[in-house]
Amino acid sequence: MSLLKLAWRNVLRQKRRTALLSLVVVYVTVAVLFLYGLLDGYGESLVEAYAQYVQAPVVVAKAGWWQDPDPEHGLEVLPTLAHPLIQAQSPRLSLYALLRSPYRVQGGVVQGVDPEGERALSRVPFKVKEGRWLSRSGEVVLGYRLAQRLDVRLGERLVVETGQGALGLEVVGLVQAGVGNVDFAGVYVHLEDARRLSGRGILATHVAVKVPRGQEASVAQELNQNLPLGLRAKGVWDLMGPIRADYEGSRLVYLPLMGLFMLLAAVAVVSTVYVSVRERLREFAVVESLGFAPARLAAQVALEAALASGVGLVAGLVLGYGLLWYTSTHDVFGPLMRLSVELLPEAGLSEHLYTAFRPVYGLYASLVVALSALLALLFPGRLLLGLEPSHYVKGE
Amino acid sequence: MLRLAWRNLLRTPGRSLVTGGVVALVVFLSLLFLSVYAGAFDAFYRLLLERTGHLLVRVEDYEDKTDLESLTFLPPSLPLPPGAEVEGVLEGGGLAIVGGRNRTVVITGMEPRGLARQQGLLKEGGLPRASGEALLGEALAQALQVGLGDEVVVYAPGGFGLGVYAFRVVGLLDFPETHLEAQTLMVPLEDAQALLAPGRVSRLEIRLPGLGLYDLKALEEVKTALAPHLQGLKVETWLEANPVYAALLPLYDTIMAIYVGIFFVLAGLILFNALYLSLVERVREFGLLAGLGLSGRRILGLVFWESFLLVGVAALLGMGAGLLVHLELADGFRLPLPQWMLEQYREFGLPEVLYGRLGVKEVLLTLGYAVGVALLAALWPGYVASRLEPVEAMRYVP
Amino acid sequence: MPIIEVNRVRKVYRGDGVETVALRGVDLTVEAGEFTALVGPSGSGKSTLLHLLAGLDLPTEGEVWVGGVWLSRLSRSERARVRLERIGLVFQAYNLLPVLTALENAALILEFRGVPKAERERRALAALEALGLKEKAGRFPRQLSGGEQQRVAVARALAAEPLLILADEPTANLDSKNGLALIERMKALNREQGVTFLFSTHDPRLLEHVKRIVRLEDGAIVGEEWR
Repeated sequence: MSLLKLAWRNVLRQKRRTALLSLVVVYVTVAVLFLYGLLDGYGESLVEAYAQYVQAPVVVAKAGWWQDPDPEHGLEVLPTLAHPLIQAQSPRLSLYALLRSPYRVQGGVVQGVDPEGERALSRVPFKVKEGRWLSRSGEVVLGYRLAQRLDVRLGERLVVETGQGALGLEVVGLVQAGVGNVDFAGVYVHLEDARRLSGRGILATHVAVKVPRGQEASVAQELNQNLPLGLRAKGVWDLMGPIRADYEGSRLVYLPLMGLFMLLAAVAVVSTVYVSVRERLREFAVVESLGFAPARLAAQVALEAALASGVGLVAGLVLGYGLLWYTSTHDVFGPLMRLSVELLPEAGLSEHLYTAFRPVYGLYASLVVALSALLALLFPGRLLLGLEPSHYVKGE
Repeated sequence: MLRLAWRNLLRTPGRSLVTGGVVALVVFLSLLFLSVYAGAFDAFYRLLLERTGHLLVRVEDYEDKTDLESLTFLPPSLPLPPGAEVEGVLEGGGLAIVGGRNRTVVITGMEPRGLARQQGLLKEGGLPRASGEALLGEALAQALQVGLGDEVVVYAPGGFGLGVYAFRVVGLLDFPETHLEAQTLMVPLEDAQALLAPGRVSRLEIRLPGLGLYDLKALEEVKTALAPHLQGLKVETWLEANPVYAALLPLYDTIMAIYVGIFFVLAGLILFNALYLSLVERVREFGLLAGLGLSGRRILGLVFWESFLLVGVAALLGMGAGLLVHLELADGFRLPLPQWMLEQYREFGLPEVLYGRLGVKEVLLTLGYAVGVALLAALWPGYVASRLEPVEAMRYVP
Repeated sequence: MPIIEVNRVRKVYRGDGVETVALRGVDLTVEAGEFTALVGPSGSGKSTLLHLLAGLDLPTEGEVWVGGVWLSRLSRSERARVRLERIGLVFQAYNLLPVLTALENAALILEFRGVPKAERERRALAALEALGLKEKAGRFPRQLSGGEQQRVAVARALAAEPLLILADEPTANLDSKNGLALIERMKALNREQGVTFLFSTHDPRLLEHVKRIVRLEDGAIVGEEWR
């Protein structure tokens, strides 16, 4: 324990040097924390958008529907799904349809939903900005940007046509969810209307299932073991579109970059330790002459490097978590995300992005301490292994 | 002074090498990053330019208009510079119906030249040569379960054409973006007009061969020349016609500067440490120099020279390596990501093969950062060195 | 069995192409419990011989045995271990660690040996007290005079109670009062606990107390006297 004290005192001996060094480590620590927070925050915003708005935490459909999402592969019988973690489930019927307002025609995907079931499952019903959510057949709720493009207002009629039929529906609500897919493309009708429009004897195309956050993949996997033949469940990550690649691609690019940052910080720590070891070769020679093995001298240097970078790490953690706290509670990236949503309206991006705030980032950042110690062992430590103590203890 | 600075750097070759290496690495990575990023940006924009042409003529206030009648117009004849090509395009929404299946589609009616431009995307079959023939996105054909030679009925009410038209599939198109592919139906202009709006187009695309991506000034000139001949119509550059993309362009420079800055701050902090260390190692020498009568300003100068020399040499090396790699990138490269990710990125309009681009602006940005970092990092160590008291400094024991 | 046995030891330093012969064939035997002085002009090889005996350096030729161990056979770490457990060293220059207090410096070897805190502090304090430094136990080296620092270095060797203490001019930097106190303390340790002492010195006060004087000149032993 006292060796720690010795190392600590040596680190504090050069306060200014340690402070300068800490700048590097603080910078890298903050960068690591912030980047992880941003990446995870981005991932979480995607999961939230897809689980709560665009899709559902888990979706069960026929294997054929996953390949070819046409009502042809719809469900004639609704499966009974049993799993202790299922919080809610509701059938949905999605169809391709032509949307005709008095002025415009546009194609889109119509979601037939059970108005009450949907309340327990999705957050879309709670994001109605104007009017109200669906309550019976004959009604339609639209994303507010889609309504603008179609030039329809509350109370007006929207004709929804498929090759099999057409229905004139009253626009009863406009939703603003802050998620591109909902606002730019959301069309919600009563399940009964959707069944009629499909022109087939199906009850739904898929069943949306709500499970606790983080359990999506495992529940989907467990459901798959007991599902009737021909049905398949998918968790939210598998429901995401190409945007998932952007998230994973970012991880692939940024993680090595962070590794490089930490390595460079460790190099800076070690060059400082190198100088301080060179200044103190005589002290090290004395300690060896008192009977301290050279390998332990090197270990002592590694300990000093770890402590020196540890000082920066602690300061960096305080600053970095402070920053993360701020960005996880304030929508700093909102403007940038809103632009991205405009650019890629159907990518499932959310208009808000809050960074994640997890203790484990601190652990990742503390790698810099381990790296410094390791490098210190390799470089200044080696200096000591080649030390000739008799050369240094000879007096002035 | 320069020679002294140079020798001082050579005296601690290990540290000079490490610090210089960090600076060179940062310069190198910055150039690499800028080249790749500009390449991706260009690819993104080039796709847009290819699809819309350099200039677009549409009805005035088309953003506020909703019905097909007010959105389309009879194409006027335009005085265009020699070599320019103009094509009319008519676009409208509809429903493609095959048996029990239907999908919403965007019907694009194009002149033969426009259809010919799709040759590169053709996956199967050929281009429409006669009325009643259509190109389908491959994903759309799959969703409708049709193949070459099959018939697709297109239902497009709300215009003042026939409203229903039957096409025979003669070719399948492979778009990078699946969501586009799943709603693409390209037909001869006359057919689209018969279906939607006889004799009219929804836009004129003007292509000016030989004009690069960001030659916006030349475009403005053509635009001004055209303006008096357009009654009730408006001409826009491809960038103006895509306001979201246009909003992105100015952000590009800022984001690049921030990204590269993040690297350079780290390099600067490391350089700062190295300069400070070489100062504390040489306190006695600096004291001696002061004792020999060197003024504080000249000692400050010495520290600056050391910083500039180190950064200068490192930046040159990093730049050399960066430019070499850039030359390689400029011939086309793939991002080092798994294939499935590259395919997914195509969905956002990013091709698999990109071409690196480094402009003077990017090189200057990098150089500017390097010089700034050399200056800032030397400031404080230089100040400390210039303020040393010779007598105390010569007796300094670490 | 002798505690020190030196056979035909030669030590040659090579630096920048120049060879310097520091020891040219030295033979020396020291029995356990001896209190022996090495004398000779500066540059005669006293320090070199002490360094070889401490295992800080190895001879170019010949054998050095300490406590029945042939030092050339040991690795650097093993020689460090021998010093830690058996040999106390006192250098001409004080060689204290500047970041540790006098007490912590005096207790350093014991700490390296893993002696519990209370025990090592008790022993270090006793050693400091014997050298008249009890009041200054909490001070750092820079707050001590040269003589005080040297006594702390001696206390460090004494506190460890080794079998053998090798000292290079231990009283060189001490005034006569402190020098005498140090000599008394060394004698007592030799007498009561049988610690063997071998030290180089010019100090006539110290020579008065020794039983054996070995004379070195120009890297060779030129004479020896027993009292």
